Amino acid sequence: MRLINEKFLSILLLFFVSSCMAETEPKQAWWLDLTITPSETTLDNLPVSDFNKNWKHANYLDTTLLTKYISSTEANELTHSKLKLTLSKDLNNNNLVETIKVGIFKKKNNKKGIFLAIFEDSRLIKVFSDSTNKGFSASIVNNKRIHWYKCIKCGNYETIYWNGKTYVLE
Amino acid sequence: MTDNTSAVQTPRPANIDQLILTVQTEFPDATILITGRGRTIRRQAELMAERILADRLEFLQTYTWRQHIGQMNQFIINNPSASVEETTNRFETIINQARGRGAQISNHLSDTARDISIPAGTDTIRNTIENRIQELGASVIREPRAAGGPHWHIDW
Repeated sequence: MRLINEKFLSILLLFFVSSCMAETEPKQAWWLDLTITPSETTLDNLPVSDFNKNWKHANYLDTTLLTKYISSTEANELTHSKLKLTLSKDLNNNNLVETIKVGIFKKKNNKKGIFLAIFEDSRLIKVFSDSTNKGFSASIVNNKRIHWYKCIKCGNYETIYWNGKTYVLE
Repeated sequence: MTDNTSAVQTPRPANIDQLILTVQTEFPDATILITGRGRTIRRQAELMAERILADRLEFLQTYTWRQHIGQMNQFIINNPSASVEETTNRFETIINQARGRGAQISNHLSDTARDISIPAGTDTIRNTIENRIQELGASVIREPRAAGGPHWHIDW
């Protein structure tokens, strides 16, 4: 009986602590909390080390992968936005279409981050990575410039553009 | 007079996150969520330090050339065995100096701003929430047509 009482009190205490903790941080959208463990060693038949020599695993973000981690209602927020996980457009006026894909990576030292890869005519030409964000990103092309968003319903993005020789962050 | 009394009775929250938490608590039906966060100068410095230490030449091809990028490059040339922490410390100073000159570092840089979802409810409720945010010491920019999706930008 005493054991049961102690167990009950422990559970009660746990609930109390949990509720106190929950009130110390504001609630945020799923894309700021999203954590996916990268699992693939190749992407588009390329070893992930071709994307970055320090990477161990990576995945492209796509709806199939995301819906393993978020609800269909949450997925709709992305579907109904202008943000894309993959998009194609000629960004440097050379009549070859660039394909932009976003994803997640894990380094050999297990540090995680997000990336944006640019392919031209199916050839990987540039990869940008960001270890300050862990799970989500998407992009929009605006006037030949890529806006790399790390969130939805927000104004936080980095701009990537063709400087005449390569793609760079503004 | 009423406004002054109200301001006295409402202590300014400790930071932008506490302000958002206060509003979320006071208006639970508005289902307000933080949708975007800024990046602190320290985190920006750390990211740039990681990038340049991983591959200096790649770093130089990653960023548009500006004075602060040149300073960072020179630091690594002069200090080839600098640790991530030493590089981050130096880059933090360089970024602060660059910001002082008005240079653009990153659209992400701000630890005093948040984006939030547009509060659910009527225009009257939204106006009430906007007034409350202002009362707590922040400003609101409504961005219903933002490319990244409709939201409110809150500046602390």
